[in-house]
Amino acid sequence: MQSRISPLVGRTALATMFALAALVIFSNQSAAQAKDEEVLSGVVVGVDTDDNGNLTRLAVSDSSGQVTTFKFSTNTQFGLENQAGDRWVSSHSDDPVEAARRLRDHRERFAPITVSHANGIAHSVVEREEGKLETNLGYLFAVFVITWALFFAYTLYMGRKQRVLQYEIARLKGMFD
Amino acid sequence: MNKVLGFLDPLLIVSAALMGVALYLIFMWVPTETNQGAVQRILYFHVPVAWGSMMGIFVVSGSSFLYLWKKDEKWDRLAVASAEVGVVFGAMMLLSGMIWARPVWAVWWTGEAKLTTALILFFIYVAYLMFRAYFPPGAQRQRLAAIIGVIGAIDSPIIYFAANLWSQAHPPLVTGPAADADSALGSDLGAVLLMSTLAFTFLFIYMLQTRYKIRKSEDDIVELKRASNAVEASQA
Amino acid sequence: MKDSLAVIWAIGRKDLLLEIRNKDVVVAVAGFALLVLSIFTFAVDLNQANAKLVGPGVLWAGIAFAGVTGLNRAFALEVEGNTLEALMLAPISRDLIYLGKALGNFLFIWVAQLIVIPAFAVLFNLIVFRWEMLVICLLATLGLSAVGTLFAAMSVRVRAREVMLPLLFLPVVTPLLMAAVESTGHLVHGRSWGDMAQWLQLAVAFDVAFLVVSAFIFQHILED
Repeated sequence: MQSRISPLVGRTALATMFALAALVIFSNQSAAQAKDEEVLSGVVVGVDTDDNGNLTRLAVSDSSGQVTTFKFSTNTQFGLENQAGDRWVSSHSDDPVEAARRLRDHRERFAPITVSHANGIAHSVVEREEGKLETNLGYLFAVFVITWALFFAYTLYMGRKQRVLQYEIARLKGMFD
Repeated sequence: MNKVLGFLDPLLIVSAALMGVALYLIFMWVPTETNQGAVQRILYFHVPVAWGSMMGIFVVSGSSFLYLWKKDEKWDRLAVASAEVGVVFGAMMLLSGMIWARPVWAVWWTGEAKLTTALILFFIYVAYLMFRAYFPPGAQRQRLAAIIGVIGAIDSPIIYFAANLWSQAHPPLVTGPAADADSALGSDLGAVLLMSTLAFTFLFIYMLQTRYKIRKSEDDIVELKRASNAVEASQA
Repeated sequence: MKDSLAVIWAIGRKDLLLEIRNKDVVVAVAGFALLVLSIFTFAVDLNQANAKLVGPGVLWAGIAFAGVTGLNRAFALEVEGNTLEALMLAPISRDLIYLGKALGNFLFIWVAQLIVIPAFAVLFNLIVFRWEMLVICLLATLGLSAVGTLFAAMSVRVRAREVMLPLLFLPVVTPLLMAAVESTGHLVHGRSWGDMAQWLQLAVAFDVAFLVVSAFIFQHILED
């Protein structure tokens, strides 16, 4: 009887497995980014633009009335809503003109925003969500309804199947007696 | 009498009691998180369900391996039961994750590593179940299904590594209120999460056990039919 | 050692000779992939920027889907001609049968790529004829045929085999496809080895892992 694993594969397998492990370990040198970001919430008090209307600077006043000024990088992300609640998502490099317009709109409405920033550069400028907790409840409700419905459907399916099988077993056993 | 008691499996009672405690903690006890609001409570549901689907994968691959090694029917039954329960938990995880992501990340789905990995693994175990459904019953089906279980286990770290590398190259556009703010709950969150995970673990074991019993009954029926055929043949 | 290699080559060469005579697999794979590519030339507006963005993804998605059609044929012929039993009766260990069949599939997909990639370069107006592309193709084809041969052998007796094989095969090879797409993406943007090193390493790890594991596990498939 020929052995199921040939010497060729058998002998080289161990070596290749070691090589594989080494490869995975060495290639997994993902540089963990140090996060020293801070978050600030408040209302917009100033929006600066350059000659072409592109957003350059933003001033935000927090609840104690202290004003902080931010500059932008091309990666700065925006997630801002208009009065109707439609969300606009973009980055600074995509549409700096629209970003300036949206922020001015927020200044006029005194709509609060949240800025995450490091070294005076804003990384993201988003709508402050605190005032709309009730609308989020819909999502919480949806999660519970959908997942529990799925769970009960599966449990009912299992219960039915088990009952049918048990009936079948009883029938077959009855044939023997 | 037996019919009534059949529902009252001790595991079911324990998991129902734990679930009651967990629900009380989630909705009445733990304070609302400041960044995300009420929707953050999805966490206490999403994470335990994800944990359940991960347990499912572990049990499938472990028992598939044991089946290939020992060729014992019970490992195959455990593998198919845990694959099915794991896929149900996986579907719950994906759905609850999407619904949670929409308000806090402003997107339903993104190319983040854990999401991609979860989705691909979900597809692999759906394929596992489909393969079992399509293949004619017998020892060969069990062997081949076990191979898929083992392959899925080997693939999962590679998928996660690739998905991680991919999301570093394509940073997902995530701008909601929870985009980069850490939670401010700390120990309260941990306690509720632990309780909820415990409840779902018991639920998982209960469902696994029920599915295992169904598989066992199916085998018993095949056995009984074979025996009755033999009796008929000897009488004729 | 030398005997093992001779066995692998004998099985691979048998498939190769069959293929040279009827050209089933290569024509199917290359034809399917070319169709996918040409459908995308009008499905997406292919200006220079778009072509660089979607090109690599379309190429590898096309090759992966086309590969499935070819792999479906790999064991079908053996079962139709009842030659699989003959192979199993032969005094050789199962892993060598697997490696021989994988060698055949590797060569078929590789030859199909030799047709598809020049067509890709023309249709998408991208410069891909560089050494890096050769390495990417070799690594990707190796992984595709390693996993594909295993799953083709498994699904050959399944009802609805044409559906089952892609459902099993595509999720498992996703990391390899990511690696191929990302490295090809670096390539069409004119970047070189340094940028794609991590992805190529990943592809090597994938290939080695699945070649070794499949060779070990193949004995459980051919067992009666």
